[in-house]
Amino acid sequence: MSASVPTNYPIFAIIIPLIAGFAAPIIGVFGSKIRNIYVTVVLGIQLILTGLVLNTVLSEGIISYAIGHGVPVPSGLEVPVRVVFEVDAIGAFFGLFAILSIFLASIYSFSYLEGKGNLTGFYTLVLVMAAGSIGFAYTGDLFNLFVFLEVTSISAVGLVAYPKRDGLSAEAAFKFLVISVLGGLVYLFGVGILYGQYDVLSIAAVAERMQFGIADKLALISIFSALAMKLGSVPMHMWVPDAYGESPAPVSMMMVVISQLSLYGLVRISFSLYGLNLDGTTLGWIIVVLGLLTMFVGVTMALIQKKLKRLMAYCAISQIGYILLGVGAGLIALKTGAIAEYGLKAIEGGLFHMVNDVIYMGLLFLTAGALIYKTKERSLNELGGLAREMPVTVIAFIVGAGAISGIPPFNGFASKFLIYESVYKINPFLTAVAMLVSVMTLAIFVKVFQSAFLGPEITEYKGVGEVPTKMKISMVILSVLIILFGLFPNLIVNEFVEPAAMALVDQAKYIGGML
Amino acid sequence: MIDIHYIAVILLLSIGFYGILFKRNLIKTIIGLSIIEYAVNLFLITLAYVDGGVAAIYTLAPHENMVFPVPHALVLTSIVIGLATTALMLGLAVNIYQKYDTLDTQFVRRLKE
Amino acid sequence: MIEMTKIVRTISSLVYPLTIIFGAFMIMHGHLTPGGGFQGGAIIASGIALVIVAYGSEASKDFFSSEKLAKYTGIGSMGFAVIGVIAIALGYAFLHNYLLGTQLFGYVPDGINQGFINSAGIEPPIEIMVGIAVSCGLGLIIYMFSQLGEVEE
Repeated sequence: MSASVPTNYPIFAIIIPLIAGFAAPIIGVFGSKIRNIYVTVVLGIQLILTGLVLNTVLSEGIISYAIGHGVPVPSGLEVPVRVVFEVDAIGAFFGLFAILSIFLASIYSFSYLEGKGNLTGFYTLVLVMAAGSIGFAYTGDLFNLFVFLEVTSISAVGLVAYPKRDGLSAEAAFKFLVISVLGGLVYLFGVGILYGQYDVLSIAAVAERMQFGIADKLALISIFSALAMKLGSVPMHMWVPDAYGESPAPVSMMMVVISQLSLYGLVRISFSLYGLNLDGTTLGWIIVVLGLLTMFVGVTMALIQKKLKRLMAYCAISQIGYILLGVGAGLIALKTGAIAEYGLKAIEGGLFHMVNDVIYMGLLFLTAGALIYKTKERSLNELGGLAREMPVTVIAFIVGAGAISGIPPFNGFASKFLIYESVYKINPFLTAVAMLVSVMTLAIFVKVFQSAFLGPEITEYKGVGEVPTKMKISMVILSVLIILFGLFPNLIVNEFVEPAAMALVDQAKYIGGML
Repeated sequence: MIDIHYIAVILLLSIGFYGILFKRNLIKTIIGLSIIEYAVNLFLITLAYVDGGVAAIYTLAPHENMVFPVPHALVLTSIVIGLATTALMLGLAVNIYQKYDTLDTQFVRRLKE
Repeated sequence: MIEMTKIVRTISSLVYPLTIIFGAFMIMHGHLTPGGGFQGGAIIASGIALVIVAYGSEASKDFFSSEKLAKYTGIGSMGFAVIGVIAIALGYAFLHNYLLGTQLFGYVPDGINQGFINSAGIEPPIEIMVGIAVSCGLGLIIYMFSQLGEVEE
């Protein structure tokens, strides 16, 4: 039994926050202080568990787990009908950062949301969302992917709609919910097509039996478009600025995680389910074109925004474009053969950027939240001269802005450079667009920096002071992570990103991990 | 031979998409989404249909020619999720109506300003 | 929502317990007949809806409270998870049916039978927990909507 303890980590990482979330209304009666400690402890335990899962996966290979089976790890399922979890390096890696982000966002929210009504429901939703994200990252089952997709989006909608500010948040949440419900149903339709053909639902089993017929392509189209809708890629991006912009800052940070999870789902479906046997070039080019559009439209829309958080939301859209570009270029390069080694590089760049994006986008949203918390002002035109008042916030902002624009000592540069380098081999034009978007992003953030922090002191904001300690802690931890990742990119890439990219590319291993 | 159920699925899907895309009332959008959900559920349950099969319940089953019950479980889960999302959407619609005094999507766009 | 006429109220008072019993029957026989926790819970919630519609939103505050319904929803869901976690404590995978074949409640023959209530191991307790969660959760949703409606009238 002692040998089976590590295999139980994945399920505990899902079950503990789920149970804790349902118990939160009972804990909530003891007052906000105890509830905050409770949420911190639960998310901390989950963070440790996801770290242990990553450690186990990196040292011992794929963990597979069949719910309801006699022994947790079946040596081979004759009829693969069980609900399964299959954790490989990418799932474990991504799950860790999703939980890290949710953990820091909730520490920040303790101060940010203090005194804004009864928050027990809020933290119930946060815990359920944490459970759902981990479930999404760890599952090896097409239908459970749908279930966890819906769990995360329902809780995220609840979080977005939580502040009842004159109907605006309800409007934003409604848009987001319509998109996620529609996306979920289209996804389920695709799963139905696959199930009708192969009679199994686990990703590994479907991948093994895949025949790449017309129906499979139809299923790919519906699954792909559903997930593209949910991650806010360009044709369906209109919900992103509303949902990111109207929610409280910590929720915006969690929303970035939700988007990235959908992106992870997209990558997982493209690689692990359909694999490289599919006509990878077509799919790759579709992803690349989507990425370019997303990058460009996002950044140009961000240029004209006046509200701080809407501006950042558009920048978040454009950053998703980079990841799509990296992954799509990787798919093309791996198919082409001659430049296959650049394919892996491009995928590594995309995955690394995914994690970096979670970190610096979260940091930027938190600094925006700090400004709004102190000044109660959302428009950039009204802000100014806050650098003297809020030294920690301004440093965090500079770090985040440097990272998002890809300036060397920060993590954004490390991953963007990987993408530029490998994408250049496929088509130099792609690199040119990517760099142009980076320059535009830098211009946008210089503008924001100038109008929010520099300039003459506005008497209204004189003596607003720095934000509370809990908010500072989150921002400082994220800044330190950005600088660490920027200074030692090779360490992160070699230790974590490369195994993740290998796990993604090696479809046979993924299938073998389950069957 | 095309099964008649699939035609019903496609019909329901198109009605649902029509509701989402061309109707301005938020409640009608919600109805459209619900119809799409029923279409997907119908599709899943149609996949599970076996001529002459019986439900996979051992209680006084006439014979052992049972259908594989996984799609039924999927549809049940999907119904539960659909219930949650519909309730949430209706709740948000009520919230929007209280603040905007209208459900017309033409006027529910204060975010764009 | 306003109170309905005396006839409706009397009939709903009569039907309400029957609805609850039918829902409980559905929950208890989830492993033997079509039905189960969700369906039975939905039936119980429809009983709650019946009372709310008949007595109006003002009077239904005396019967139900959102805090209690939320608490029982949480307890039901937690119970489900705890039953699953016990399996891990016993050395199996999560939600493994550890009561199946233990003959805890007597011997059950395999194959087609006339329906033994004890033939499904941990399934009935799970269905009961799901039933509690669904009936209270759905009831909570209906109750909350009924309380929203009173703003209009």
